[in-house]
Parts: sequence; C-alpha cells; structure tokens
Amino acid sequence: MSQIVVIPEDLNHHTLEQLLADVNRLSADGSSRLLFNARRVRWISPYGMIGLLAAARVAGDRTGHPPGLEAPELREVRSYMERMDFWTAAAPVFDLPSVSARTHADSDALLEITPIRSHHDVHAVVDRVRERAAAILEKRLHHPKTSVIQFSVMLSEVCQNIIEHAEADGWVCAQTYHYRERLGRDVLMLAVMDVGIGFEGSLSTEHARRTGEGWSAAAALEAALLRGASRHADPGRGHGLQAIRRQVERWDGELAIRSGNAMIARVQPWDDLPPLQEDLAPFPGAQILVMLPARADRAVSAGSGAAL
Amino acid sequence: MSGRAVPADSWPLVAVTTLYKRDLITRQTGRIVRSGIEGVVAEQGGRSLIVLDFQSVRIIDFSCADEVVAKLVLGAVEHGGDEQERFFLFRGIEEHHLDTISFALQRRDLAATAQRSSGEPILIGAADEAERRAWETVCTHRRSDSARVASALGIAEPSARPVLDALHGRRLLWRCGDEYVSLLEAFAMRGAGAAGAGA
Repeated sequence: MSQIVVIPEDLNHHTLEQLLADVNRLSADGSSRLLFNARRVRWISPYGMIGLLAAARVAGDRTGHPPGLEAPELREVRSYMERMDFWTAAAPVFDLPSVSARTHADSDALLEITPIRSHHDVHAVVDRVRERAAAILEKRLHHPKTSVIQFSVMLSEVCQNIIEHAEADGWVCAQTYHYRERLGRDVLMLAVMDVGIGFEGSLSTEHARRTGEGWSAAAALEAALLRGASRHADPGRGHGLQAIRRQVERWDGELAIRSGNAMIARVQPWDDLPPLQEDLAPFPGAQILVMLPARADRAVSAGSGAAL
Repeated sequence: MSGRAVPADSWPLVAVTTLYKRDLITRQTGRIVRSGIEGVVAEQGGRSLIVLDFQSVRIIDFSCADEVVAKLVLGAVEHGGDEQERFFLFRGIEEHHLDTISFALQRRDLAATAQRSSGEPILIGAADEAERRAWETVCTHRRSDSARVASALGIAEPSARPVLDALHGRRLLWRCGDEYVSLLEAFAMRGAGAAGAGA
C-alpha cells in the first residue's frame, strides 16, 4: 500500500520544505511506494512545481518506484500546470497515465519547465526566452532594455550550475506574478533545481580539508555564494553565482540557494526567509530561487498569473 | 605622435577573427571558440596581434568571457619572449559585453585592450590609476615614449617607464625600442591585408 505525501495547498519556496521533509521521512526505509496527493493544491509557484519534480525523482530513486500523483482538483491550477509543461516534465519521474503533448501557443509563461542535461539545453533556453523576457522585463517590470541581456546571462549561469557541478539532470522554469500582499508589485520568479551531488559534495574535495570539522552544506553555500569558491582550483571558475548575486542585488531582488540541509539567501524586506538556515531536511542537489521585482519607481500593474 | 618610423618587419603579424556565434554562452561553447582562436594564434607564429571582432555577439555570459577573453589574455601574458609575443585586441565591444568581460578579467587580475563600435579605445579589467592614465596617453597619441607619458602623468620620466613596461608585460601596449604603441595603432598600421578567419 502506498504512503501518502500531502502536498501543501499553497506550494511555494516556504512550504516546499514541508514536502521535502515528508518525502525524506516516508522514503527513508526505501520500502514503500509513495503517492503525492496534490488534490487540495490551490496555488503553486514555479519553484514549487519543479520542487515537486525533484521530490518525485528522489522518492523514486530511494524506493525504486516512481511515485504516483493525484492532480489538483482546481481547474485553474491544473490548467496553469499544463501551461508550464509540468505534465511532460513529470512523465519521467512520476507514475502517470500517458500524457499528451501540450501545444505551446497559448502559454503565457516566461519559460515553461525545461529539463537541463547539456549545454545545448542552455542555449535553447536562452534563445527561447529572449523575446518573452524583453516583453516582461520592459513592459511589466519596467526595467531598461539592457536588462534582457543581463537576465539571459543570469539564466545561462544558473542553468550551467547543473551541468558543471550537479552530476545530474535538472529543471528550470520562470513566470511572472503579481505579488500582491507581500510586495504590491509584479515579480519575476526563476527557479532552477537538480538532485545531484549538491554544493557540499561539489566543493568538498577542494575546500573541506581547509575548513576541517566545520565543513557542512551551509559552509559550502557560503563559500560558493560569498567567496566564489568552486570545485575547480582555476581562479576563473566559481564566479557565476557571485555574478548572479551581484545582478540580483542591483535589481533589489531576492536570491535563495538550498542545498543539503541548508539554505542561504539574499533576502528582501518583503520576504521573511532567514539569510541562513542550517537545520532543514537533508535533500540532494541544489535548489535555486531568483525573484526580481518590478521597479518600485514605476506604476504597479496587476498582471496575469496568480496573486499572492 | 612620435616621428620615428617603425620598420615594417617590426610590426606584429595581424590576424582578424570575427565571432559569428551570436550567443557566447556556456563554458563548453567558450572552450570550443577559444580552441579555434588558439589554432589561429598557433598558425601565426612570431610576434602577433590577434583581433577578435565582437560586433555580431549578442550576449556573452561569464563562463564564455572567461574562456574566450580572460584565458586568451592569460595565455598571452604568460607566453614567450619578445619574438613570440602575442597581443589581443577586442573590437566591436558594446555596453552589454562589458560587464561580463570586465568581471572575468578582474577575477584573474587581468586587463585587455578593446575598442567600441564607435572606435573609442577602452581598457577593460584590472588596472590601477597610473596604468590607465599611461595607457590612455599612449592611445591618444597612438604611440609615445616614456617622456611624453611622464609629462601627462605629472611624474618623473624614470617613474613612467616601469608603468609602461608593466603595460607591455600585460600585453596592453606593444613596445618597439623606446616607444610604446597602442594596439589600435598596430592594427591600423598592419591590419590592412591581414588574414581573416571566423569563429
């Protein structure tokens, strides 16, 4: 009999922690099949969506069986997930009935869920978002024209983390929302995840012996994000995350990176993430969240996508 | 501008490479492009100036900037004696290239000579105030000796020479006897009829 994993009604970067903890607990002995119950889900962010995929991949790896998934009952949530190409991405990691291919013509997503396996995928993603990013960054978020290039660079670098460091596949997606209660402005949310070796594993060979017993997932995250540490000794490596952090700061945005049992964040007043957490449920790989708000000195728009 | 003529065979050999790939992203792409350019460099032999044209490049990420700019400059700085000197000039540089290229160079404590599409010469990367002013003086006059640079910097001539020699060592200026020559001047003097290639 399957063990039930109840998906939070609002699946976002805060509540994903509960899902990951539940998956950890229920798949620990590796004997049970899992069933993800998403029937009560009322809202799901891009981070939550690919978090669901990551959780399913880990559950499947541990139990030997891809978990089942009960779809959300709310039509608008199911429709949103379909527009984000969730079901296509879910097919390899969930035990699902056959999924028919979605036509992309009616999607309002900045970037539908896209697997990242090679540098060819990174090229394809950057190429695909170019026009949509221009429209969203300039018209909805009121950033200058140059922001499209900067966003494309950021997208390329976060996706490359999967290829260069994870030793596993990953996913990326992005969407824009009206962040009504917390911010009162539109926000672009970019989520990138993998279930690979994580920062602690990636950096341990080069850096663990210097830190000694203090080496941990949190230490690895700090080394990577704050000091540009890399698994490579080459001084030209490891700058991608620092560069992303710098760009996010320029845009008054938020950056959070979760890996192992830790999360490090460059936080904004409109979110209540702690800058560093070290007691999270251990989870493989890296989970990256970037949130870019509309410029505060321009008019607020209430756009498409869910409101928070 | 100094009046002394430079013997024709003293100018570096010039090769121009146009980067046709519009999106210079991912480290793997950067490695492939750099490998192609290094092939051009190897064919040149001798003292050479490699000109990379970025006019068609729509976007360059940090990983590619490290591979295609910083590592090439690093190789030039670390490579060879006088007869095997190599220099790089990056042309067609726009604002949207500058951030990533500058960041990649600064990570390795390097600098590079570049030229905007407008023709304006720019020094990108890590350089102190004295180096920048000396470099700008030479670029303004196309070539200068240490006395002219010393005058521009308001320092004694013996103090200007080490700054200029450092710029030469960093492959930001070409040196011919007692004169220091901007790479744009070297390209202008030698560039007509230079071998071209795409990457």
